[in-house]
Amino acid sequence: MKKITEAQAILKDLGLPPTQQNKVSALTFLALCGIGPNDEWKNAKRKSLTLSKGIMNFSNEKFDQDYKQNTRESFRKDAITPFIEQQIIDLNPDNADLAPQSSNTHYAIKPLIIETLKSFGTDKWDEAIERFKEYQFTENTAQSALIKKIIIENYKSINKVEIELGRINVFIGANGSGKSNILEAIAMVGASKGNDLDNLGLMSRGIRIAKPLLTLSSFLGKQTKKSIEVQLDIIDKNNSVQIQSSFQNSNINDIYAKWIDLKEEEKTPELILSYLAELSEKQGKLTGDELIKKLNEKLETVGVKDNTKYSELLSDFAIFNLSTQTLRGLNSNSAKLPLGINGEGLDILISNFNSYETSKLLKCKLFFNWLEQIGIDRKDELKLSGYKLGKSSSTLYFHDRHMQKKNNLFSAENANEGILHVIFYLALFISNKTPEFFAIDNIETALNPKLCRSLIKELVQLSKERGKQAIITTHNPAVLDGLNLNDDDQRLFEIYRTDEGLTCCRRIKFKKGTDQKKFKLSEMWTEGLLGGVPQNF
Amino acid sequence: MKVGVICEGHTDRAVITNILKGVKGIDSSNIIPLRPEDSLDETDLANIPVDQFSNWTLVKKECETRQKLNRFLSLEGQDVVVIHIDSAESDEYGVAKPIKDNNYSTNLRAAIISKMKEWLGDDFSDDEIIYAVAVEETEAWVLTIYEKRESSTSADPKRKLRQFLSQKGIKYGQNYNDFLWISDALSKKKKYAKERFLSYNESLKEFCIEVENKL
Repeated sequence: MKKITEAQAILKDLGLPPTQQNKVSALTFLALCGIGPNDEWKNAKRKSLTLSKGIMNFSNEKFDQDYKQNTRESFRKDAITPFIEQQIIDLNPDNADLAPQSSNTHYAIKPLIIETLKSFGTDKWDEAIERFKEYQFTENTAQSALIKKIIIENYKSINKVEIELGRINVFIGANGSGKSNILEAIAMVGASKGNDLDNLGLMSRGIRIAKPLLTLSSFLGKQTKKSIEVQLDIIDKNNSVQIQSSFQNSNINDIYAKWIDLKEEEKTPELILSYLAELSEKQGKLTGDELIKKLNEKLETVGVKDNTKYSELLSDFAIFNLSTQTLRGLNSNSAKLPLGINGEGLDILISNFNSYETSKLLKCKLFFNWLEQIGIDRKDELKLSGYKLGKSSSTLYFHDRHMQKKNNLFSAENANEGILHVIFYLALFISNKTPEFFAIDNIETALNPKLCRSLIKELVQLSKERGKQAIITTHNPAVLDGLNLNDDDQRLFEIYRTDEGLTCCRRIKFKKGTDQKKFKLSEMWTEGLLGGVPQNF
Repeated sequence: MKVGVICEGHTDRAVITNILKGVKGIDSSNIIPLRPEDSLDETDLANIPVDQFSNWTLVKKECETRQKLNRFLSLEGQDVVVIHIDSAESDEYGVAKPIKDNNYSTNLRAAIISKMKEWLGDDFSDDEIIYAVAVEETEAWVLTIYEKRESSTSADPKRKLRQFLSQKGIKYGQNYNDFLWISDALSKKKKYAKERFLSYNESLKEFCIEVENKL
């Protein structure tokens, strides 16, 4: 029947796997949308139905089927359960307190599906599907918080820098100008917010560990200060939040001494009181000893810390600096989840992508005309057939469309390095599990200049869609051509050092009224017009 | 603020870098060299004498084409460009040497600036360009540090500087870093008053006044 076929096509477009495109799934979908053989999809309505008396009866009556009561499990297995998981339907929307086995258990199609179906059969269908996939999972919704300003004092080559960030921020500068130092100072705040200020915590975020005396800035003729100060101003919708950190070391001559964030320490008494109040409220009357015991447990495990969303935003911050060997699965130095700073965990992240994320990732086909498909060997069986003779741990595979179908599969260990880097960056920007704020050091590594330009343009677009904010360093001029400096979200900065060796930062911006199209940023950089190049030779 | 510098050669840029620091406290990191540039790769340079690409012809060409000037000045915080030229070869670019009287330097500088303005056309305001006209060469400006006497009238300041420093046992190469070093005194504000550099060279003095007024 035509309507059943249409329902199957819709389920496919919604991104459901083949097992949820069968007849039972289609009939369930039709019943929950209230669509009979002669109804139009645009008239779909949300109405709660139970399984037997609602969905199965609708299928039998409207579509001349003959499903018996004993086929209920097929409906559950093929349609109801996966539909709930895939956010196609709601479970018990009229009474959330129903017992799991209640005979009144009911289901209703999601309003987002009803809205999407209004475009079925029109030229807006593809657009509607794209929108559905974006909002299908609430975690796909982009975050709104943005770091607007950073002030760093006394960190390595930085005496004091102040930077007003956009969404995508590209840093250029001569080698040794201090680009990475700026990123590290931010990562140190992240480690503090993650209660992770030991060497492992710092290294897992991409900080090059140095002994305390080298971490504090020490310039000729200037007195070395005792603390590193970092301030971050965050804008979230209409709220403005300021996060401050003041890092000190108990003994700057002790190479093993741990950093502490004085600003966090200052909050400790207040946080302890608030935790004790929370305990008393949740668990009734507790004795003093019980309270102290619970507090000690918490201090020993995760510590007491400010658990605001901004702490999480910052604690996730990491400096990604990819290694091709790591992307190939041939070595692994970081256990950080979901992605390690050198590229660890890419295959696992991709294998857990939802349909929206997967559709976004497939955009990488634009960049590689030989790429037919990306695959994950979930059971890691292909290695037994000799696809990973180098013993890669990655389960990522690529199909080359120019080769014979029976022999066109490459494991990450055999694939070209460019695609591994590009897929990593796309996954980093697309995933709802990766940090919202992060840095990429030397994004151009392993990439063709023209690819760099297109990639940056794509990443700018993704950052807006996915609510990501990034700082990117580069030595490749082509990266700059992917930026539109007339868009205030996209910012370019020159990092340089003064005659005294102090790292400085300035935003590179065209004057008002200047037609940017006349000037190519890559050429301006290579010709030295933007600074950001060594000058003494 | 970033200051662009167009020079005949890298050694001239070194001297101007020191002067900008000494007169106005401009850090060298805020000076952006526009010309000379590495417009040729090493393959080309292997076949062509380097000095052929470090002279007034390049300065004239940039003034006329404004290739880099326009783009440099299109960015925020980049509002001024220093353009250097030596007077030694002024006859070749159409500026005859005036009579060697007390106003020789001032008159020659004025005539050269007038010529440079011709090259530049009407694209720039007076505030955007600082004219660094060295009579006869920037080596004459460096001589003010060592010789302590009038250096404007020196016929061949390049040779004289080499001789003078050689006598003092100072060896230097014809490159940016060495010229930055031998002209370092020009980067110290206090030394201008103490050592009276400007009193020994009128073209240096007039350049410094222009720097003072425009930066």
